[in-house]
Amino acid sequence: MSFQLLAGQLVLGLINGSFYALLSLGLAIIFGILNIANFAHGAQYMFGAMLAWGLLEYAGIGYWYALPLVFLGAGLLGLLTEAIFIRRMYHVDPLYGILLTFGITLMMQGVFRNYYGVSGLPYSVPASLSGSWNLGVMYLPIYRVWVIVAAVVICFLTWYTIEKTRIGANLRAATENPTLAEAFGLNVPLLKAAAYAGGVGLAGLAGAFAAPVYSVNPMMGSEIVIVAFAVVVIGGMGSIKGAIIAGFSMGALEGLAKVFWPEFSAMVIYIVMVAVILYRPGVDIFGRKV
Amino acid sequence: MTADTYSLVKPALELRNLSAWYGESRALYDVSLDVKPGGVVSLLGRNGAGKTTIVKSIMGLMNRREGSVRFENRETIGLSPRKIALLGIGLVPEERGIFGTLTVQENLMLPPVVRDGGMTLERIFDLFPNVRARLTAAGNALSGGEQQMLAIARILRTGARAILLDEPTEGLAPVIVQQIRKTIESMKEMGFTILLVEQNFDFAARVSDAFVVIENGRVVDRLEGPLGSAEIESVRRFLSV
Ligand SMILES: Nc1ncnc2c1ncn2[C@@H]1O[C@H](COP(=O)(O)OP(=O)(O)OP(=O)(O)O)[C@@H](O)[C@H]1O
Ligand SMILES: [Mg+2]
Repeated sequence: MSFQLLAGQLVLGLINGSFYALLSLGLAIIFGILNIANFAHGAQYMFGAMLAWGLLEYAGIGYWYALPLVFLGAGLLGLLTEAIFIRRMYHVDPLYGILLTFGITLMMQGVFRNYYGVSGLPYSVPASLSGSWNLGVMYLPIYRVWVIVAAVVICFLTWYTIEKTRIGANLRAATENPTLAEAFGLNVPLLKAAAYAGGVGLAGLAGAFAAPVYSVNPMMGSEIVIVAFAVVVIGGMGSIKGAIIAGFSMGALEGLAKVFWPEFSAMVIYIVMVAVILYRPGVDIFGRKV
Repeated sequence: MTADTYSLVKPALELRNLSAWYGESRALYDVSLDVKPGGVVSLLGRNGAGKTTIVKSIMGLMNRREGSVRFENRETIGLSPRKIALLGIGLVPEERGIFGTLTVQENLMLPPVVRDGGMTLERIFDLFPNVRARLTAAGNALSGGEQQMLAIARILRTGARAILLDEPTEGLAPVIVQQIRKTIESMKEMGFTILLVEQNFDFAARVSDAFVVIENGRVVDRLEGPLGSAEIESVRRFLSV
């Protein structure tokens, strides 16, 4: 085994980990605050990639402008989805929420497949991020470095917003005890809608980051959403920090597995998830109860 | 004060035939009571009598409630808890309701300011030096006494003029109970309208203008303070049976 191979797989793993972290983060926020397992997250990620592609294709809007527009566009999709569908799930068995968001996924995939087929749509790396750095032992594509750095920054900002700001305190209060939060005058329904929109915005943004690296197609979110759920479980259901750290480390673990146990690499995350469910249910990766 | 002079003042908080249910089971039966502006009224009653349910009904926290709750002449029976809070009714709930995942400072700053005239942080810290000392601690790291101070402090900030205090001394050491009594006395001097739920009758007797005794979800007695020793004896006997 060569060092190049190891380093290469680790970088690839961290790239995947960046997407796992961004998606799990949104899932954890939505699960924590709305108590909804948002199975539409993969389709919302796909929507972000499609929107980035569409902005370029139909409006000539390039990558850098697309990023904020996709975040806002996906956030708006989240607001509408919450207002039309998700809101009705707050007072019923959580199982209905799973079925509903799964149905939303199928509807979104169906609509996009109808118009764009299933073959991938091309979206190239923006000129400013194309090329690679020669590190001697390996070539490091600049776009991948950008995705990792951007994901780390976005995860940190999201964590900071939730843990350290006024609005974050309101969200945490609404999570811990929504009834009491309302009795103090907080607008809990608005906080829930904002949390859902924010989570969907993050999923869309992850989709835009993915557009130049993975194939843009209506089915692109269907597998990664399952991984993202496994990561949320590993990080501790609803734990923000746990989701971020588990996202990056599960990506890296998957990369290492490709080197050391290639036959297990596709399932290593699920093996960890099953172990967590069996041996540490209800505890986040820091050992705190969630 | 006699019942007649008392009734001359328009009450700040006026409950009329208030009934409430937990699911199918009825918990309150036509509860009527008044708290005049700046007055302190204590709800007395044994465990399970319905005192907390009255507090929750005023705050809009019961799924089903009927009758009338007027605050400063406004009917609130159809309003959500949030709207009721924003009208200026502050809750210091049973078990204190401190958010464990928030720091002390975040707990303190959580309820939105509903009116001008709330206490400044400086003033609050003068009243509760412990709260200032523990600002960065997590809510669930506080002692019971500190939590109770914080629960009161966080409402004083908002400018709410009426405060519902549900068993503020429960399970606390005598020194802390005394500190809370002083706090309630100074709140009374500042003109807050207070509805106090209290099992500790001696405590309630010192700070209250009037007493409403609850039993099985009904008002069974009303007394105007200051109480004579015979009245004190009879209430105490009722509560201890
Ligand atoms: N969440 C609930 N669901 C169903 N019944 C309830 C609920 N909370 C209280 N009750 C019932 O309603 C009645 C009144 O309870 P409440 O909590 O108002 O009593 P309380 O006077 O505050 O008692 P304590 O002094 O113990 O706090 C009791 O019979 C209680 O069992
Ligand atoms: Mg009670």
